[in-house]
Amino acid sequence: MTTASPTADTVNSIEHDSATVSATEQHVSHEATLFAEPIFTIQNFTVTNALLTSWVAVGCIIILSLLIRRKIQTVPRGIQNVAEALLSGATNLADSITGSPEKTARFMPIVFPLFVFILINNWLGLLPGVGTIGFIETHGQESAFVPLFRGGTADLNLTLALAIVTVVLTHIFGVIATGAWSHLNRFVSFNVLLEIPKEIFVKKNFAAILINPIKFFVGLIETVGELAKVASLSFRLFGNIFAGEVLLGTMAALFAYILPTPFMFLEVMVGFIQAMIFAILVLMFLTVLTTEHEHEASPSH
Amino acid sequence: MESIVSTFHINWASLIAQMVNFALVVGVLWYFAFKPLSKAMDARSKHIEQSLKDAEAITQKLEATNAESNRIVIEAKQQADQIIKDARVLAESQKEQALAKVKEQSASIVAASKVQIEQLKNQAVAQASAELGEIVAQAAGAVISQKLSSEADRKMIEKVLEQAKRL
Repeated sequence: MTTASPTADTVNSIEHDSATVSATEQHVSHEATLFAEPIFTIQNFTVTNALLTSWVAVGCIIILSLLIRRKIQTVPRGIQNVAEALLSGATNLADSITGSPEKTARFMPIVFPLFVFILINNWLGLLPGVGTIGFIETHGQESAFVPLFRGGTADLNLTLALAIVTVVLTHIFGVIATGAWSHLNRFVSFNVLLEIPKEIFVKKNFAAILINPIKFFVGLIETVGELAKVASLSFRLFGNIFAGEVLLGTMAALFAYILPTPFMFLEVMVGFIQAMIFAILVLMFLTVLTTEHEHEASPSH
Repeated sequence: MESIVSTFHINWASLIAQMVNFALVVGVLWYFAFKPLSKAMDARSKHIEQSLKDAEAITQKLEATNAESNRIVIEAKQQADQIIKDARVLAESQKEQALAKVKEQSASIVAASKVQIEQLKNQAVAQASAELGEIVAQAAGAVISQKLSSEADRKMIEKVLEQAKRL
């Protein structure tokens, strides 16, 4: 049974379960909204259910880190073994992408926590109670169920924040590695325009009149690509995790026992794969932007 | 753009809060896990590398020591053989010398004995001759002093001969 949406916000929401049972005969809608619902406010700052889950994830990571720190020994045991295996595997994988252990050592302190943070947020969203424990919020005649916790990555604010931070970091690393002028010319190729007179009058390369402006515009397209990176990183992660939550909710609504189990396993895999995709893509962006620009690297062009 | 922002409830406060969360995760993981783990792993790698180098050096030293000890044993054997050979040669020469000395001594003893025997013989002969002469003189005296029968004569002769034989 589907209920009417109580507010304008939920016009865009996906309704997957609309069981309406109320002693007061009020409709309580259970809707998977595209956004994280506010739980409480601290002065003007609104704490959403996704932010709460994100804080839980941060707490888990802090506890894990402290446990690892406390148990570190020359001969590894227990949790240190697991952490070392994970770190060693991640380093080997990163080496195969960057092609340089030095670059891996520089990027791992960013990429590895990124992977862990996304993974834990993805998996926290699958825990029983997340999305199912909450309260009923009433607006006039309509009531809506508001879950106390929501998968952190099922909120675009988190994925977008991560995408913005990581893309900005790729540029910072790029500037440090190749220099500000070289990095700027990767996107706005002033060098290419400035070379036109030299190409024509010194090298007698008249094709430069056509080729160099094209190269300049290719650089501008790269700039647009940087914005696309933010969009693709954030929406890919958000879309996959949110779709997973909707899928699990739908399956649970159809038949609550056994039926969601295989999809739960699927979502565990999806959570891992999406965290890995995000981290690997960021690592690739870092590698590309810290590599000398082709135009700069080959002065013959 | 505005529709995206309103649809997904994107707001700066949440974005910054999530950025802070991520920064916290990066800091905590880096300081409490990544850095000490990397340090421990690097230290272990270096330790293993050093241990392998040490083991290789020890193996080389052991091989060198074995070779040296083998060389010393072989040299000692050679020296022992040489000593034994020398000792044999020395013993042989000493034996020959001793034998020669013994032979010489025995020869000298024999010669001295011979000389002594000769002297004794000569002495005995001289004594016997003297005694025989005396006997003969006595016998002649006896013969002269008294007329002897043929039987007494024969007995006298036999007695003298008997005394001569004893001598």
